[in-house]
Amino acid sequence: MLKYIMKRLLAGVLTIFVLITISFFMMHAMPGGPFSPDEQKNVPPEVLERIAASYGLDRPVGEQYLNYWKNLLRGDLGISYKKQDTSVNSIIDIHFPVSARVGAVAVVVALLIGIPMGVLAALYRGKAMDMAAMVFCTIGISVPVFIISLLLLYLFAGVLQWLPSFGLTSWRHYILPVACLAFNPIAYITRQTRSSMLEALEQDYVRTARAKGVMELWVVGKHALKNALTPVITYLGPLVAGLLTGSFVVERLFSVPGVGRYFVQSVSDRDYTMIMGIVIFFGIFVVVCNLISDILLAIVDPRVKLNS
Amino acid sequence: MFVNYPDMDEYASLPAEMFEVCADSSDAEEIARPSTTYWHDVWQRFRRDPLALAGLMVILAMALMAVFIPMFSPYTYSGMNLTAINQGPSLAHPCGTDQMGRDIFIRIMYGARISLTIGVVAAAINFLIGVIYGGLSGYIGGRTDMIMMRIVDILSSLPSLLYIVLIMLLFGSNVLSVVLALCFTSWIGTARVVRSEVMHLKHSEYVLASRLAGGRTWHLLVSHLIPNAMGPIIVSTAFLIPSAIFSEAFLSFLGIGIQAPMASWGSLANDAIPMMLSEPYQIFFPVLAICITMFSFNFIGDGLRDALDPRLKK
Repeated sequence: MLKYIMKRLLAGVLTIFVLITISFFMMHAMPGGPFSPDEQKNVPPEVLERIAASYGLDRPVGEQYLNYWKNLLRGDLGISYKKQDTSVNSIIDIHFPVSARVGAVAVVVALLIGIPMGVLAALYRGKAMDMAAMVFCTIGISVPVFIISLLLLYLFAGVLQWLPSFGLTSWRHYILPVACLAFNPIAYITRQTRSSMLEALEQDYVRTARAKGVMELWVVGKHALKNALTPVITYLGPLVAGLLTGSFVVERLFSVPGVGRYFVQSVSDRDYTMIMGIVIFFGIFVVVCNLISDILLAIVDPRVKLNS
Repeated sequence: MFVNYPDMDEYASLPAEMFEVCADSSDAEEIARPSTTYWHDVWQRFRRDPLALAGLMVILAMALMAVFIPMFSPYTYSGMNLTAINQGPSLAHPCGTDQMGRDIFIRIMYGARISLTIGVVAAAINFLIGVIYGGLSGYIGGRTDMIMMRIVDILSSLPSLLYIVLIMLLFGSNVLSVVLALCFTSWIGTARVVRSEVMHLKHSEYVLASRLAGGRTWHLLVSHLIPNAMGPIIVSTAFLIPSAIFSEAFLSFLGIGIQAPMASWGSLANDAIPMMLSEPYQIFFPVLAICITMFSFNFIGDGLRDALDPRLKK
């Protein structure tokens, strides 16, 4: 067990190293940039050189790379190219809690709806309930998040005017962004729960439990569901990465002041330090979430570490 | 144990003319119908799936429309007509016009060219990389396989969307860089499938026989292992097409994909957001196009999965 966890941890650290290195060299290879003489024709070249020097851009690449690491190990992600008085850390400090709150509510909602729906679909296999759940899953898996967001925004905030379309000041403001973020995950979780539940219900231990006269609710709830939930745990890691994708769209459409919206904004501003800082922050976040779900899975299901 | 038939002698005395041939058994061993090939079977199963067949028809129709309609249409994707801005759907403009008087229908058709091209090209490249990488890794095995798979593990735990955005910034916003960005990590799924199939198949008798007959690694891979692993490989590639189309639409929707005046479905939807309440048709048609395409490709993928591996069907 400990060996497995150590192996996963080592892989995680290696992944983060690769992530930071790739990001650094990709950002370094970007053509143009805010301080290149080609793009800033009205600023005298000496001024541009001085600005570049203040960001350490006049040093050789290797040294810049080492400096970036040094700062990073102190937890410093650098200062925005666009707004000289704003550091990447301050943006993350202020805006990440907002994203995290909306994201966490979406994860909880997705689990609370997806798991029961999957279980019901499996129990009533082939019945109307199952059909309805499967149609919903097909829609949820095929329709991209930005389209769901557009449709919900148009319907509930535009035409019906039931819910506010922007901001995040009351609980009613959470409904639309959370619904948009949770839509695709609900479909995945339902489908996953249904198929693993169907498999679990055919196992010998379920038949044994029934033969012993265990109550049906208990058979389903304890014996079958417990074993059917392991694939859902595996999905939690990618789920966080998926919410990230969703957050870029949802935070922009609903004007939620989260990191996702800042990321899209800094991409169109070509604010390189900001982009890189957020990429590294998000990247580490996703890698850590994957790691946690892997370790969690190994604790819940001992077969995992035997197979790998 | 012998059974005694006392009446047999009676029959033996009958003359030969009294017997007649009741059936000609000379062709009993002949095969009445041509034997079906694997791919013929697959097609037979695929054909019986109405959703998958409908999906295939829709995609074929869309591809034909995307190729031919722009050739014969009086409008172009960038042609503006300031006397006809924000017009609702009509005979002249089946999907209406946008705020610059451009025909939305023709812009959706150009968008279909981009989406379908990106989907197919990205899937083809990922298929190629995945087959080569997974095939080599599975075939060689041992330490090489271990290292190759660790590299894949690391790449797959990177959040690929962030890197797609970085690659778009690095190479500029055009179709080629979208395809390039999508090839960064999408091949990993295919590579894993190929690897596990090859590992499973490489100990089969026909592979051993071929190796015994002097077959080289490359020959074994290309003419025995990969063709026999084709079913699962095709399924995993089929689902790459909709995910590539999704990624392109997503990037364009955020404003970092295809650039104006060229139109992609994502950028059409994005452009129409400010007009959403007053001119909802401007957002409706591009969204409809994306949904239809995504559904069709997913149905085709599901149909292929069921047709190629009927055991998986539940």
